[in-house]
Amino acid sequence: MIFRMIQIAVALCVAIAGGAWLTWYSMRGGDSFDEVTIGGWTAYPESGTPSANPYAKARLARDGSLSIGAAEGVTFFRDKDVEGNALTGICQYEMLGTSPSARLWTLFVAQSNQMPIALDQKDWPASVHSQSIIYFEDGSFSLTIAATPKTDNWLAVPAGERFVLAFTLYDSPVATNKGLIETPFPIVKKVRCNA
Amino acid sequence: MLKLLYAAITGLVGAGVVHISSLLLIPVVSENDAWARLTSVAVQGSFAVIETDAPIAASMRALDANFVVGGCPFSLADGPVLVRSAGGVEFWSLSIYNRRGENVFSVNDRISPNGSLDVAIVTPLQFIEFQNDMPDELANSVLAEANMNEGFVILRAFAPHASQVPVTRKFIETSSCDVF
Repeated sequence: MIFRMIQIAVALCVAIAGGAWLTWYSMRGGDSFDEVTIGGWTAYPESGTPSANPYAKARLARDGSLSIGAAEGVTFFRDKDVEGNALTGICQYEMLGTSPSARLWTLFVAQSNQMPIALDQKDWPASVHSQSIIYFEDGSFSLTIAATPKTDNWLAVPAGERFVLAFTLYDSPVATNKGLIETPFPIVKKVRCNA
Repeated sequence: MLKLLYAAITGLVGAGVVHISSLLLIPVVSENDAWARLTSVAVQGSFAVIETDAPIAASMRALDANFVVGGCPFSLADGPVLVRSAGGVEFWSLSIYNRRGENVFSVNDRISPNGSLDVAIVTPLQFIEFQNDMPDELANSVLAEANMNEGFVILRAFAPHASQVPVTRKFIETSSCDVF
């Protein structure tokens, strides 16, 4: 009798603890289903819509995010440079190339869980947009991503911390074709690292 | 011992059931979703600016600091809701969300010839009524069909520079969001 009760207790404990842990664990990171990756930049066009997967829906309810609609634009994230190393404030990067066609784009620094980041220096540029940078004659641009001030186009990142780049294209055909057409995206390459 | 192993395996199957049911329950029981956050700062009938550093924006992913974002909860029970603005800004976009915070309809300023905002949110039934008999006042409005009783509108306006933020805020705050 006692043994039967122990059996039931074991089964219940494993079920409740295991189930709760699985849910907690699956809600930790970003969405890994329904992602679209172009040139190292990843977007989640389904998340925040009624056709999102249950994990994305649970995350939406918890975070209260206001995901932008397809007619508004699409946000791409990247947390690695072209060599596949994680982006970190220890290093300096160069973002190079042309943006996909869009009415306007913005680029800002976020934490690794995609939440906004606050820099210690309030007046440093933690975000840039298509009208705030200087272009080359052919319409391409080069942007320095570093934790210390730089000349020309500069995006400030938190010193020594890992970060994610959020690149949002507003009113863009990229938002509606879901990656069926290959579009050139800017690359992010490491220039050098301190320490 | 073998029986304890059976119990553990049964537990693992149960863990799967618990996981799936808790996951599906989260959107139903969540008390801090976008709707709850918005209605804590905004009332029906007008737009309230969502400050990017306010507690209600705390865990919102990828909220663009280059934009002024306004939210307006609405109810379609008393008729269609008209979203209109007097002036214009460099770029605006608008989305309609249901009670669960899911984006169901979005437009940007290219829908109108002069960039002004004029959207009427209607239920499918009201949509059919309007197709039969269109009020003159709504002749130029974009009809957004929303199959819901309650929901909210998010209006985003681009502020290219910090000096343009006050004008952009005014655009959001003076936009109407009233029952027709």
